[in-house]
Amino acid sequence: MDEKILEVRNLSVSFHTYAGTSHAVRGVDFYLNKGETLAIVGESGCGKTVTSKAIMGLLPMEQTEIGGSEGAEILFNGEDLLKKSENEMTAIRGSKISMIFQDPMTSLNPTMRIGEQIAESILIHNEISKADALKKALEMLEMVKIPNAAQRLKQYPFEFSGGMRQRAMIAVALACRPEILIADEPTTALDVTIQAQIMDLIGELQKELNMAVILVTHDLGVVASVADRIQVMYAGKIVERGSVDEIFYQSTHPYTRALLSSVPKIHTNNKETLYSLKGTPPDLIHPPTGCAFAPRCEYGMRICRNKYPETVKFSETQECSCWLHHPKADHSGLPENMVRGNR
Amino acid sequence: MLKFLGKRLAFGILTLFLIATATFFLVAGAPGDPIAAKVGQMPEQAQEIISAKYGLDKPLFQRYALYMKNLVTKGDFGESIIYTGKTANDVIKENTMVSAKIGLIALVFQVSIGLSLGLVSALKRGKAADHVIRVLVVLAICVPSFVFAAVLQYFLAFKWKLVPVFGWGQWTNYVLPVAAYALGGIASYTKYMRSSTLGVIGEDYIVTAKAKGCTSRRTLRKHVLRNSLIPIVTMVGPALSGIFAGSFVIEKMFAIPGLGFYYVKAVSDNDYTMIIGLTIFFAMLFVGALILVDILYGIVDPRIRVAKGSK
Repeated sequence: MDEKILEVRNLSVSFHTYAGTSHAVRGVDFYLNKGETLAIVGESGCGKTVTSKAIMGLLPMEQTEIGGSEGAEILFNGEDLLKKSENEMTAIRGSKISMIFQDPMTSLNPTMRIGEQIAESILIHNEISKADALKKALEMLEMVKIPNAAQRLKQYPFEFSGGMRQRAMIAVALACRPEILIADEPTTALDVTIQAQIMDLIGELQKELNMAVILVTHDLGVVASVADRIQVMYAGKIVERGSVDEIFYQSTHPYTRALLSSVPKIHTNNKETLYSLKGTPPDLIHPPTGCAFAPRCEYGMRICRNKYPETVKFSETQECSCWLHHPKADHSGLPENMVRGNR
Repeated sequence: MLKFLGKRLAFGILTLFLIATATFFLVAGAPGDPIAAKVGQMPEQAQEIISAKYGLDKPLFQRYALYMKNLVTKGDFGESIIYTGKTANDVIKENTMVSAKIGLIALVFQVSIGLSLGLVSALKRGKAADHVIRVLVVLAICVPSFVFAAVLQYFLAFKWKLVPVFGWGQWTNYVLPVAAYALGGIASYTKYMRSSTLGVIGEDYIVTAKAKGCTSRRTLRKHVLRNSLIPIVTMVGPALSGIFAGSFVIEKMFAIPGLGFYYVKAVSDNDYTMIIGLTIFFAMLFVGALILVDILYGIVDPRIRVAKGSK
């Protein structure tokens, strides 16, 4: 059951900009099992989108450096995607690994019929006539539950609402029945009622096609209902990872805690102030040597700023990089369920 | 679509009417006297006879009513005051095609070369090709067409004797004016195509296309080109009407009997009929070109097409 379909090892990504080299992703390791949903959570600029684009090979090659000195690997079914040629990658993109994007309003070509946009990926990856590809596109449109699919096939993106465009995007991405779907904030640009529909749809199709999903988001509400495992990213590193239950009920990293506290609760009354995390993420052109979260952390210690903490493993799935879990750390003042294994 | 066209045509005709009226009164109000310009010293009686021939002895509003009546019922712009016996219609008929031939050939070069260079420049952004093209574009926009025409005449015609310096009648006469006329246009099409293509390349749907597995060539052909051509359509329409008007400078330098030459001369001659006639003619072409642009726009951009079709 737990067969790894994707393994990312020591991935770091840097961009050469006018201001200097920005280290967007700084050594990330993770894996994805067949059929599971992995959520990558973090605030804007933490490197979650860059990580997913790196897997797809969609980063602008000229300004980007992947791997650095330690040698990164992105193993898809055992083959390193970083070693593939551009041609080999084109064959994988859209057929084995697909991606959907944040803004459905701008992610579809405005001057191309919806049907043709769906059929295009089928045409690229299969030896098939255009008419047959369009027939399959129609099936896809029905699969993502767009009413009047036959008529909709001939329409242009501007005739679709935001939610329907995202459905169409999903149809484009899934047309070739990929093994992995990377959903980069698929619901961020949609209103709340549509968000749930889209997430349900992704979940259903995931089961139907037995594919693995990497869900990139900053919305923990979305994550709770669909993800199997969660990894929390901050300033280009994964600071904590665990199963959904572990992250929601027993999170061990102060940043994860802060993220969870920022979500309004249904029983919050209107006199309470909603928790908000003060400060901003660090500048990744000059990344800090210690824990990047230290300056914003309410439990921050002197060592946090100087040295990056080692990763502490709490269970088969849960790990955390934080000095608070060092045996010598002072645990007084911490919430009770934050300290695991030491209880 | 038909309803839309009808509406656009009606507005076009209204525009033309306003232009005709405004031109008529402005020209009549301008200082100077065409009769005096034409004949100079002449007995008063003779002057009166000529004035009467052109209706210049009548009150202004009566002249206007008469002019409009002839224009609307017969499409008649009236006889030129300077070229006795020739109507403005004759001048247009005889010389439009001369200007149009040069203009059309130049336009074909402008669009084809300009768009290709712009595309190359955008795709090779920041590379040597892009820098070279951009420098050339700035140069070509800054150099006035008559300077470039003179340079062409000096080298191609005078020094190397490849083509005649000026004249009209053989195909070799086309080379220099077309080149001189096309240069500025090539530069501006290059500039616009470059920026429009760069804009499209940065769009999200280009990333989608790549994520689908499109090769860069397919992305360019299927996703970039059509979208980057949309803004260009707006430029081509008016340019199309401009080719009939010709370029006074180019026509003068190469001694080409085109319409631009007559237009400018009519103004300095105070030739009422010619000024008004040619102005209305150019306005007609321009209004027609704008309607054409609207139709073309609908063809390239589906968003506009359907908006028109809806009730």
